[in-house]
Amino acid sequence: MAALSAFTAIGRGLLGAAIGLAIGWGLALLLGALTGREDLTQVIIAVGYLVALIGWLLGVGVWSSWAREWLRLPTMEPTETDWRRYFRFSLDHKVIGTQYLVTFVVLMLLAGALSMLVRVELAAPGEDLMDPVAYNTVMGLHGIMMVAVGVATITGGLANYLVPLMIGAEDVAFPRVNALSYWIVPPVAILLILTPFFGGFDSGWTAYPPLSVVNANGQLLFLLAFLTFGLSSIFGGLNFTTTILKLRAPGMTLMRMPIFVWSVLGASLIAVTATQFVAFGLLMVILDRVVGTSFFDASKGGDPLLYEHIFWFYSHPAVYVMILPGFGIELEVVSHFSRKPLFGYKYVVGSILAIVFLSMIVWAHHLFTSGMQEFLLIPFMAATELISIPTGVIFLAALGTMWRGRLRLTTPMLFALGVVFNFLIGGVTGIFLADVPTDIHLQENYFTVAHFHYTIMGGEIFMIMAGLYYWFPKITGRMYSETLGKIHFVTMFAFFQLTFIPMFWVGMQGMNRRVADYDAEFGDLNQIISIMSYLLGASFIVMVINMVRAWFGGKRAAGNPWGARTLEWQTTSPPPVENFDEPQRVTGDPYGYGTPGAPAHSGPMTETAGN
Amino acid sequence: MVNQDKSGSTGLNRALWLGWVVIAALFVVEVVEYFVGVAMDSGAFLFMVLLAVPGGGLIVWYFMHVKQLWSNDHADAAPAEPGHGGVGMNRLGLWVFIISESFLFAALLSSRYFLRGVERPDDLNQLLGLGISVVLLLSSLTAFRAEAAAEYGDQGRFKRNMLFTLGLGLVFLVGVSVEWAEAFRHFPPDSAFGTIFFTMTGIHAFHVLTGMLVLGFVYNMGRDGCYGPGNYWGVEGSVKYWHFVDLAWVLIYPTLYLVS
Repeated sequence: MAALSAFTAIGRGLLGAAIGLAIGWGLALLLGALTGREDLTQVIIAVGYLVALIGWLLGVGVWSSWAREWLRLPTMEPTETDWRRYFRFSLDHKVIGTQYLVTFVVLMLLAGALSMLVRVELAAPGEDLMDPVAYNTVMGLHGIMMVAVGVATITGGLANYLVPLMIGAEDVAFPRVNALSYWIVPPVAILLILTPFFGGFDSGWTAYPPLSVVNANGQLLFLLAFLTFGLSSIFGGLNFTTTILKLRAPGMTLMRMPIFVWSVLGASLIAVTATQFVAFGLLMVILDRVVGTSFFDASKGGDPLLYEHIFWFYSHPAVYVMILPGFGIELEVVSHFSRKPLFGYKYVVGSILAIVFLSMIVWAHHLFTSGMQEFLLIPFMAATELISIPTGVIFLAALGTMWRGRLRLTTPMLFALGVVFNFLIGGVTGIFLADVPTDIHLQENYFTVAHFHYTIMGGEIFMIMAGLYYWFPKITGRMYSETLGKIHFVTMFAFFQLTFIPMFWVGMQGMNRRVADYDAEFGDLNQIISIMSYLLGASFIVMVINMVRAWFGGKRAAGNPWGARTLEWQTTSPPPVENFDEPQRVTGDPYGYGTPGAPAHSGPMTETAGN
Repeated sequence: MVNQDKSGSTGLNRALWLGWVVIAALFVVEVVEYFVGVAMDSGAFLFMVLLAVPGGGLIVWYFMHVKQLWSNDHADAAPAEPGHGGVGMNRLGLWVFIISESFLFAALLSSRYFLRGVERPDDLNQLLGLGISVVLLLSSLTAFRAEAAAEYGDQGRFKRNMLFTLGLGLVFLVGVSVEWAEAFRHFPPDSAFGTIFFTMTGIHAFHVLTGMLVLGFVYNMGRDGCYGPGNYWGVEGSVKYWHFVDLAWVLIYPTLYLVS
């Protein structure tokens, strides 16, 4: 019975969703009767989902621990302290962070499995496994799920767990908004998994109209899922911005914040602003489909280019929502394992803020071949190249920190070193895609696929791995196996190169991206790419075995196994509910390694009060 | 400046007086915009921007008290306990949300100009447009008065003005419905201008509706007098959001009705 009680919240949520779906269905039928519309399928999906989502949220915990207050009723919060709290509407940022992390690591493995399916189809020319719609759906699902993983694993998972610890706070600014931002995610996953049963969506993850206005109903599910996920991202960004600006411990000045906290602040600023644009873009497509507006119907005065502008106004900054906190992890890991102060801390902070600003004015480099006005080409090319300067500064800071450091080659450090290599290749190949003349040739082929994966997989996913291994002892209180960790790194690094380097080549030879079939002359290389990608996928099995084994039976980890100076390591592993046994006062530099007589970064308020 | 004397009625009276001055200025802006927009056939865009921006500025400065974010009036700068941000934290969080929402409205406005330029159909009901704008501005005044009353502990005035605000919000929504009924005949949602018109007014009306819900909950919670000096964040937050919805309309109104 005790075990079953863990799932009451989820059960109530599902019940709420079912009731909501019924109400929404009824509403849609009523609307249909009033307007005399014939085909109501899309109206039922849209309205039914909207009400079901509200029902789910109310059932899962919004009602009992939040909304009752509005009606002057006492609120009730879950009280469990054992494993059952992970299945409840918990308000503890550490529980929410863990919920996020487990959910999104599982999603990452699923989306990785989808990419294996893509590679099975592409292993030989011709249609082997899937028809084009199925292929496009699988590829689109891989894309959107990985985008979600890229956005939420760090800003939702690691940041949720670590930012309050790193700034010496008890929790985030708005714990209930935080819980809401997590519990909105399961409906997103369910909608995406259901898309194949509604005819799939053959638009890929970018959902360009006019195709996305006229294709199967799976597209509508995709649009609703993406829109919902955007909401979660906005809530998360709102929470972190406020937490970081308002809840720092005494002495934690802005320029004493660990660089990871700065990077999360940068990502949050982008998330709260730009995400509204993609939400509106998706809403326009939904309105065109469901209500019958004509945003993108050129025969009635619409213009599909509007979508591309609005969509990329978010979706380019979104890669910085992914990569900025990744940079933060990278620099944390590099500094702590080189036993050296972070090189150029102030310049890195400036670069993060510069990237936040510049990321908003580069979007149209995705539209170089779209037919937009020609006078826009050069400004957007220049802005795009400008953004490589702050990115280069951050890259240089990583190298400068390692220079003459005493490197400890633990698993997280190995991943951080891998990033240096991968991101160099990703960055240099990006220049050819930022330049208009080369982009016109390269943008529609596998060169772009390889470049993108070198920055986001070779960059961000490697950074996530570094972060997962680095903070694993803090989060679980257990130590993973270094041997298995190193095996994971070596296999992942090697097969990553072997998978994606050949893609640059086939791309330059003219192999088109986004399509299920290709010219027979690329068959041999694609076979090699496919085999290497399976081995790359297999390397994640090592990670799963390592982490699951360690979590449930690894040896206990000390409070500060790495000897790091930042605040999150100055408490027990895992930390108590209030994070620190007593309030902390920050007195020094988080990266003051190797400086004789450097003051401790922090201490309990009682000991150092009056310093 | 209004925070020195929380108990006396001078502070409250000054605040209420300020509200009337600001609303008068906003009415002048709106009416001038209207006459210029209706009288001129083209070229009014720059003029609208020149008027709407200071109009919005009045709301942000005097009604939404943006200055609180960096002034130390409320002694939020040094929270008593580490890890507890207090009202200053809630306020910042709300402002971040408002900035986030303003990007949504920015997307709406830019879509209008991207798709239709400054096209203005002759079938727009100009008088109705001006009417609902005035109603919404007036509701901002009553919301401002409700907040000031809560700040100085005048329960009767607080409750009265909350109800006025809700009532004016309802009148606005009825006005939009009448307008929609007319618009369906002249430019249905699948026409070029109708697409823009229904989306913009629809998204804004949805915000009005959520604002009314929040105000309604706050009114319900405050019926027994739980809001007073030093403890009126619920009122302040909901009223700030209401002002923001009004601010959005100050920009949407000339964009939809007046530019040509």
